[in-house]
Amino acid sequence: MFFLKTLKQIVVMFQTDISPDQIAWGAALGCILGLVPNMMMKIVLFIVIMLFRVNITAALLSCALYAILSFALDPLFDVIGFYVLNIGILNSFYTWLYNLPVVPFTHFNNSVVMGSLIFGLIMFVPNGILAKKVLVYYRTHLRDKVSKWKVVKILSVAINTTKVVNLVK
Amino acid sequence: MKMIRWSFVSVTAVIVALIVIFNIFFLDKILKNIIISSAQMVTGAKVEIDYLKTSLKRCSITINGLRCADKNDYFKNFIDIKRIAFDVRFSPLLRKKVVIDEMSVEGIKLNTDRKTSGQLPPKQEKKYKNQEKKDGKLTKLFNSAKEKSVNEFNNLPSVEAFNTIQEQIKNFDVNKLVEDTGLTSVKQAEALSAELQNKYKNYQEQIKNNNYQEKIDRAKVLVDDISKTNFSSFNLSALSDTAKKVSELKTIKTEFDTMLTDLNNIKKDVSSAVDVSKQLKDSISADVNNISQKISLPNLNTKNISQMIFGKKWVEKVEKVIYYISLVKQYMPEKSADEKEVKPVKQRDLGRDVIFKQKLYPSLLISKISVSGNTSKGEESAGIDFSGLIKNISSSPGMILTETTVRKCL
Repeated sequence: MFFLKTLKQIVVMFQTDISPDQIAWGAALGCILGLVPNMMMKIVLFIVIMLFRVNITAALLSCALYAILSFALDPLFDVIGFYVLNIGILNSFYTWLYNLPVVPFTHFNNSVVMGSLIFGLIMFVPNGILAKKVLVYYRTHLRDKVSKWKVVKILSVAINTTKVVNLVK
Repeated sequence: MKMIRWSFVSVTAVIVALIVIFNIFFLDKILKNIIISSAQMVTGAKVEIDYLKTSLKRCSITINGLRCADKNDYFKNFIDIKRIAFDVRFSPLLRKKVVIDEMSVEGIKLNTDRKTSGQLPPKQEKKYKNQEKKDGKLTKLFNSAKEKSVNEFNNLPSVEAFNTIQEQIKNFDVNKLVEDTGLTSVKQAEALSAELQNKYKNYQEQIKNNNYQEKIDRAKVLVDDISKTNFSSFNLSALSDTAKKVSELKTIKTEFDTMLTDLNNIKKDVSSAVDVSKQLKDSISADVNNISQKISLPNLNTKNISQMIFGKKWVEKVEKVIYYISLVKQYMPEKSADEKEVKPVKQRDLGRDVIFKQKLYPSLLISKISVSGNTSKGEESAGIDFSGLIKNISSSPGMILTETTVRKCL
């Protein structure tokens, strides 16, 4: 059921006219959520996703994709994070951060956590723009073709039925 | 404004507000009722708490005047605790540090008198009994566990030690103890003083009998006379008289020599008396050791802490279990090569931690741990006041700049 529901939500996201901005920024935030390994940081990012009017399905889908990708990127994050954490000028800033409430729980002083966060933040805007462009391209060129697929048709019927049931209720 | 999901914000705000209101107005009362009712259910008698205060800001709980009535004697308190306090600072917790300001259990007393009956109201008693019936097996299990734990507690070496201390203090009689121990130092001191007195008398008599002063005076006179003798006159009678005087002087000299040897002997005796005082000191310390052994307090050694805390039985049980596990392991078939190769779940890289300087607090700081009370069981026995205090336990002592102190008092 969970799998079907998720699939349904993905179809809704792509096939309906939900704002591309919401989906794009949702995907961009989901990217950071997927890359960062620390649970505390994940919670903070999830709150941010919930707080802003971005598409949650897009965020979770992007999170899942980037979480898989992060395994391969970890050595790169380690290098980036270690370099950033050892910048002499920023040492006093990190010390201040390290002694702030809640912040130590984010484990920002770990090279992989810092590297993934930096990478995610750098990729945030390009990710958003890219996601928006891809989505617009899909909706203009591919949506009609995909909507003719049997699986999509079944799922769209299911979506419509649940909509009707909800209306009747 | 459309950017923010207001539904989420409002729901979160309502939840936070409810938590805050609950904490301010209801938490203390609810917690007090929960503690009282659960304790009453366990003890089967009234439980009272004078004051309970919790603070979310300080993460603290303070309980004043906790009294549990005795089920077998409703006008006695099974336990009476003056104050229980646990205080953790909240802001260091957010900095991944634990700063405990206080962990105290003060004024523990057993079997104190009550002014009112500790019997539960009939309604409540029925309610608890019904609950017991409902629980059935669980209650039986709980009761048996409780009995076992009480027995275990009473058999704890530390509790046994307290009991023996109490008994020894109860039956303490100084005269009997001195009689039983048969102090050698007193006898030795008496014998030595008699001996010394005898010697003193002997010396006095010797000095009297020898008339040393007279002899000295006579020697002076003889020396004067001899010095006045005129040897140039060749008076034979005078010379023979002088010769007599010289011979007399010689005899006096020999007497003086013997006197000197006597004096040396006396000196030696005095120096041997110093040795006697050493002997006396040794015998006194031997007596003290002897007495302290006879009234020795049980040794609360820290070697078998596990036995002290859990009791001998539990330690034996754990040892048995470990033994059986090792026995079973010997007869278990070895894992095949495929089983041995457990595919690990792929984890993210651990990375490297860069440590920055910690300010404000060490990772762990316990400012005060204290326990105090009295072991008396009722008013008939005075009991032993006991208290323990540990201050400033820290993971980084350099940061707090105060030394750790441990104080115990019996």
